[in-house]
Amino acid sequence: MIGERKILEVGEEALRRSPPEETEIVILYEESALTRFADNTIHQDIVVWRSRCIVRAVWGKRVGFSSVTPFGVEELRRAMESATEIAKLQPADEDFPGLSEPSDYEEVEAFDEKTTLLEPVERASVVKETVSIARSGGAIASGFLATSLDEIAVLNRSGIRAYFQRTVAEFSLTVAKDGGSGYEQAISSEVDKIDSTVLAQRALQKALRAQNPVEIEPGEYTVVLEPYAVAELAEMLAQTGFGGREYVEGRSFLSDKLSERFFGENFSLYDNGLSREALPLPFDFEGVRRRPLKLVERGVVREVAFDTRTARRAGAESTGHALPQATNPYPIHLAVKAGDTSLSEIVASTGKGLYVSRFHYVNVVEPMSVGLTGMTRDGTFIIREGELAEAVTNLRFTESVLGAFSSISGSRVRLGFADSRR
Amino acid sequence: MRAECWDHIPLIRMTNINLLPGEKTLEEMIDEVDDGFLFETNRSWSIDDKRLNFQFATELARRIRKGKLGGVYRNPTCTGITSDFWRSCDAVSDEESWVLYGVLNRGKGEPVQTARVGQGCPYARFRNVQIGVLE
Repeated sequence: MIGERKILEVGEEALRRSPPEETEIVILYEESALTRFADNTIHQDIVVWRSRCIVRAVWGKRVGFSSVTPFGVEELRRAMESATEIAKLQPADEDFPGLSEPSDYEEVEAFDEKTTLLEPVERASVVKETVSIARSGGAIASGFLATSLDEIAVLNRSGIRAYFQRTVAEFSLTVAKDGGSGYEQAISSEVDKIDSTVLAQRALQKALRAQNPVEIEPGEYTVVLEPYAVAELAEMLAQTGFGGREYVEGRSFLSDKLSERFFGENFSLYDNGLSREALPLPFDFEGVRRRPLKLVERGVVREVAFDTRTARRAGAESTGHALPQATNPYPIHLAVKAGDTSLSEIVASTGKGLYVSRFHYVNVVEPMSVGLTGMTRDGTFIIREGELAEAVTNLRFTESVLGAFSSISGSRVRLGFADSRR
Repeated sequence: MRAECWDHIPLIRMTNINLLPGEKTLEEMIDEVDDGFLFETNRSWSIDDKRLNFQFATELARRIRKGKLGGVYRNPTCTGITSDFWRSCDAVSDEESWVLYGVLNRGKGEPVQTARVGQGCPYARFRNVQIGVLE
């Protein structure tokens, strides 16, 4: 860890030496460790300490960026020189509103010391137990356990001095046996909150159940989607429709349509970067205070993620969703509001349909209708008379998320599946 | 083997995957089609975890009837199984129409690394492909 005092000291000294009136520095530092395994064997174990500093120089209405990896005053000074030269060569950006002004940030805690101190032998111990569980079922396990400490700072000549540190632990696992596979994943700011034993047991049971899949006819089905599958669709929905740039440029399905109903009353989607469960960050990469957003509230689209530039074009305020180097702003702390029906109740009340664990390689086919395509994977099952029955071979869907999330019934949706038989 | 940067481990990854040009001109290939489509400008892609089932979409497709280009369709898609699809390729166009395309950010590995890859291709014709149009 570099630490708040050192990071801000170096950043301030670099700002004092910056030629243009407006300069912004974003400092990103990570200490991360990863143990990766495949076929029941650890094959990759790395530790990375990496810094990346992004400098934005403003020359009138001209803006330039430069980035460097070493963290130091001289390195930042050279990056500023480079960014300034780039800025002088740019056309004036009349939509650029200037760098942000200081504001207060929410107090958020997302640091866990044990997560930063996890040793390789401790990561290996988790993998060993995971593999042992897979082997008990005659299966093979593949995945990784990763931990990291992130330090993020934003400084500018207007007085912003934002700093945040957080820890992240992530466990990802696929268990496979004889054509069947099961997948589990968990992510938290505290490694002790990840129960790899339970995840491994669930993945094994899914893999064993998913063996000997049968083929089914393509067509429309009522589907029960596990959270992994819902998350994939929600993320694509957010990236396609709720970004500020897409909204102001008329490339979003909800351009000029805020406060209209697009989904059923049982679908609500939020973005909350202040929640500890969401890997929080209380400010964005322009140093603007991050605000929770009600993206969809009981089916009605309410808000969009803006940075300062897109907010100005929309006649709105920044919501604190700027990404590094002025990449298009997006909501990155998504949460679908839970209902009050248990999974077993949902399956039991489905009657006939399909149970989908997860999607693979989902991509956008048509952005204005949020038309997506992808495959099922890691456990797809027939639901017959309200119970999970035989596994089926993976299927391809091509569907509009707007349509699918409008037809949620007791947390089920309808999707059409194409012929993907080999 | 390539690594994104000095501080990443090298990964096995492709560099340039090229389709060698053939003998026919694009016009000759179109002239031989009784009923089909000319797909242009890729816009989306999706494959399964074994790289067998795929679906691609392009910006537009032009109808071909009796060797003549006709009307334009938006949001066309094509799907199939990789091995069957490439077995159905019965013509590739000549050097005149060969273009080197590429991608700047092909992702791979954990932690993810991105790399530039190149794909140089002429036009290619495939028979009996399942296509669709997204409304």
